[in-house]
Amino acid sequence: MEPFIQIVPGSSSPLYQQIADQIRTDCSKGRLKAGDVLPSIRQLAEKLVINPNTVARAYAELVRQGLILGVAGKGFEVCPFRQKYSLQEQERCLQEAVRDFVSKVAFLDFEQKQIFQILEKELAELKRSGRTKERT
Amino acid sequence: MNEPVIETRELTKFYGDIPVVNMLNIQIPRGMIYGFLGRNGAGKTTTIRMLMGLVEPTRGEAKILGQDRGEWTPELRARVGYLAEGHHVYGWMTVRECGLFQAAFYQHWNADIFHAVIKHFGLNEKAKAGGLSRGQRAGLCLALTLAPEPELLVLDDPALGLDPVARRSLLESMIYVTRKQDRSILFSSHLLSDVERVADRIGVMDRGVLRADCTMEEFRRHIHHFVLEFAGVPPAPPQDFEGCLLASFRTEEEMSLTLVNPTERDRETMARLKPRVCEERDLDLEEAFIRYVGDRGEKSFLLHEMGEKK
Amino acid sequence: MRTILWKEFREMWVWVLLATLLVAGAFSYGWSVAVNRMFYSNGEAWHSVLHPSVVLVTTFAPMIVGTALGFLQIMPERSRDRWAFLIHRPIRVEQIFWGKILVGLMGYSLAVVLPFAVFSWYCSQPGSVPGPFYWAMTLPGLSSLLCGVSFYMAAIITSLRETRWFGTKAVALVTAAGQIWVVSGVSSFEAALWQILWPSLALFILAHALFVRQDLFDRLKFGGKVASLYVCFVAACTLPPSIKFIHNMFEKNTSGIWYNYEMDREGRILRVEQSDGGAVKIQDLEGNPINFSDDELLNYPGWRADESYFDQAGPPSWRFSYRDPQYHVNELGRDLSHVWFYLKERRVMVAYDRATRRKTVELGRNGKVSVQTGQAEPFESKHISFRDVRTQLAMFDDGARLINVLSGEIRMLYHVTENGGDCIKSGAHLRKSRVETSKDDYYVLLIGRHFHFYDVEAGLKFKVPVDPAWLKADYVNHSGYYASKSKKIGITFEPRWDIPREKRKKMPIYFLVLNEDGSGVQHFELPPLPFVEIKKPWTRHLKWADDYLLKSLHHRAMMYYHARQGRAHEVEAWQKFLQDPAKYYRHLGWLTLAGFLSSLAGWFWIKRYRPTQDRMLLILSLLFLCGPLGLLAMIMALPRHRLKVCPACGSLRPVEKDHCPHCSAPWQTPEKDGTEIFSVQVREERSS
Repeated sequence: MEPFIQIVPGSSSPLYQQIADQIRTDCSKGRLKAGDVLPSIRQLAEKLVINPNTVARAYAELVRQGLILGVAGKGFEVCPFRQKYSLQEQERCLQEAVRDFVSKVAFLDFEQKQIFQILEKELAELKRSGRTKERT
Repeated sequence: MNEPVIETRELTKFYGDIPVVNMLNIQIPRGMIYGFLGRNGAGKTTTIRMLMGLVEPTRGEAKILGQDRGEWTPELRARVGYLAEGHHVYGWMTVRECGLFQAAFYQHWNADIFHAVIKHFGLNEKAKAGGLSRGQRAGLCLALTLAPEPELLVLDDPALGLDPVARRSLLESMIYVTRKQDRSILFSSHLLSDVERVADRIGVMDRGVLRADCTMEEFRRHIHHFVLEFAGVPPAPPQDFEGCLLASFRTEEEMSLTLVNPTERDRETMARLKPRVCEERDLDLEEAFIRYVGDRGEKSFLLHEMGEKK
Repeated sequence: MRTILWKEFREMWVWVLLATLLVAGAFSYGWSVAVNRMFYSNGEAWHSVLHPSVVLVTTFAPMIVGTALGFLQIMPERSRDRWAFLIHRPIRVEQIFWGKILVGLMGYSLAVVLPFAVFSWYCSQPGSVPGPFYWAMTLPGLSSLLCGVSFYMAAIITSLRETRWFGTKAVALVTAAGQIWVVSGVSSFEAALWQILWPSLALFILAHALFVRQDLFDRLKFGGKVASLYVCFVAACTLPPSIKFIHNMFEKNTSGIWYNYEMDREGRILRVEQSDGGAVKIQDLEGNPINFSDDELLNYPGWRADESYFDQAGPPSWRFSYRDPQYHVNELGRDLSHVWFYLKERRVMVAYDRATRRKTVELGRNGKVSVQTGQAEPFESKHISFRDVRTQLAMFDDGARLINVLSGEIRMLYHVTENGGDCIKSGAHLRKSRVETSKDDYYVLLIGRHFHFYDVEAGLKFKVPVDPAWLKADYVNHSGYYASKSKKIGITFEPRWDIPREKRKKMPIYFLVLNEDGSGVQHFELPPLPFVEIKKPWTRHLKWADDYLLKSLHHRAMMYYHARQGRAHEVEAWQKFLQDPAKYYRHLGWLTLAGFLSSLAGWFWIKRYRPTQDRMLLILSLLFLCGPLGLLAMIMALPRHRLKVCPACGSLRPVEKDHCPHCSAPWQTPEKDGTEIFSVQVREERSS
């Protein structure tokens, strides 16, 4: 599967960030599974009409985060998920994401219960696609 | 070779009393796509012309591919492609004759590239160049510039007057050029989104002076935009920031400040104004750029001031 | 290079074709004016390529076409980006220059030289020009054509120069105009070539230098700098003659009062005063006014005696310039149907029919011969002075003859060797009636110290001695009068016309009066005649400038120049000037003063450029030699150095130099205002 990437130049988010985020989202949604080979830097650059260095930077970022891996002869491969962060780091990430989430939904006219329902649904999706690690 | 393809040392050009280019120091390494930004009249075109040996600098030096800009030899000219603003060709020549004319001068001429670009822009080989539209002429000039496969491509506002399709083709050609690792591009443009797409680094000129030389992202990162909400009419913006205040804007209950390189003390200064809320917001690239090179100072729109000014 | 030629050719061929047609049309029109019976009585059509209406074309067409071609080749490409498109090619810029020049010059040749050549060829064909044609007559036109090339180069230079004021841009055009001005006045082709060579060379070098390098004086190579200064100097040198020319233009409009001595029908010598308005005052030699009736005054000649003119024998004492038709062809006169010439190389007279423009008749020692039958026998003499074929009096080296061109009859009037060697000084056909030659007319020859009077049958009637004091070299006997009422003859001796007016105003006039039969000879020495000028007041100032500022330098230079041309009295005047210590040293003094002042002014000007000691010395000595014109040239040629206040020491320093000449401080980088964003990488590069 090819990642679906649409960049918006001129926005407040850098291009490499947008690419990395969208690949990450694709991975989390299950469009990209472990073992899928991403397009080469040059191919993606020419498809999106951007500087190959930008793509390279995005890929490097994803490699640093452990999401993909460069394989000689094949290109960049999506890794099976491997937790890199320590527990404290994970907690901090979770706190940050929750804070961000809360600030975004705070002004909406939903009750807590409704919000939780939707949250549960999303998490279930995630589990189904096989990206979360089941904590038993 | 690690030598930069373009380097200048205190390059200066005076027209009359005004320094159109003032002590410019730039180094562009090989393999880089460098975008030149700035308002009209900031000195971009003059700099490019000085580099190309068309205009004599008042002072300073520059080197292209290691050779002094005053000593353009035919060999050097074969290695550098130049696309001037305006997309000039000889109107009486047909497209084909343009190609033949250009090819006669170059030892290395890739006719495939020429024909590919011509075909892509939909040009009829028998058409007279003078009858082509702006975009088609741009395509022709691009074909003429790319076909000799030069090491360094210098483009002066290449997208001027082009429709979005032609602009996209231009960008694609620029990406294509980077297929070879040692090719470099220097181009100037007003279209920030295009520059963000292809440029490795940008240089921003303001009134003849180079004010920024960094990646696009660093540029954006250094520009911070704060929005302060007040209970009543906002006070006058403070003038003692350590970073530079680019622009401020006041409405009836809000004051927004755009700063470059703000420090902690600047945040304290803002806090001392006692706003109800003080938030930092993201600016998109165009907004950040406009404030960076635009006029400094306050842009107010207080309604009651308007009433009094009558 | 070939591609450049192809491109230039494709761009220019339409213009060249247009120019060719226009020039050819101009020649045709000029020629039609020349042969038109209404204008110039077409007897002057034999001037062919030297005819005024043709010379107009040969002078102006090269100027216009050359200038136009030069502009057309450069101007359309001159905007920065178009120029970039031309220059940014992997060939040497010089090749582009040569490509343009070759096509331009070929175009010029086609447009101007070709029509001229064709026209000259046409004139050389029998039946086109009513007179002999020599190819040497095309040389003046050729010199003008060569000057046109200078205009071409000048137009290129003007298009390439990047100064804001148009006047400075057009310096080269002024130089080219000065060149053609001078060339039009030079009297021989060799001299003209020299005048053409140096400015053209300088203009070419300058055009090349500006094309290949930018228009920045400091960047030009040595040759370019010298050429630039020379071009500006020549342009500056056109300034004094231009002022003089303008001054003369207005001076001609001044009113004045002319005086003249004339003889009336009674045989009295009268002093005639004529003003511009036409009013005439006549006095006799004692000063008593003489009144004539209106009829006698208004109708020409009215009260005047019949006047005939003396012709000087031998070769003319002044030299014609090669631009005068008379230099090449000796016209003897014309009647209604023919024009007569004397062919120096064959020493025969020839007549051309004005209508058919063909040679019809030759006249030599053996009389008249029609061209169909053969050639005439040549005369012994190389020179002939023939006032007009209608007078029949022809003076040769070996004597004087009466030649009737209608019948072909030749009668010997006076033979030098037979009469002991005195040669003829001048001769005239003294007519006794205004309208036709009558059998009572005299032929008067001045031989040795006597006037010989002959009748129309070539018989000597009487001789009259002349006061030897009258036979000076700078006098010429000019007019012969016949007073019909008193039957008296008057002959005048006047100063030569080519003597300057200031000198002529002091020379007396001699009048010889005698009766018709040779008795009653009287010699009158008459006081010199003034010429009173009433100048328009405001030109007085121009004259002052002319006299004091320019005369010292310019006039003497012109004097030397004219003396070099070989004009006899100018040579004399020059010698006298050299031998007159007062004038000579005064002039030298003026020159030195002018040179010194120029050097001083130049020193102030040059200081800002901070030249080295040697350079400074060289410049100052050149300024001393070239004077104020050199100073002007230098100011025009050298670039203005922009000066700004030095932030370190406060004095003015040139913007082009890195270090202040006063305090050696470098330029400061522009102030930072806190908005600088430089990435870490760049900062490292900058500090390294």
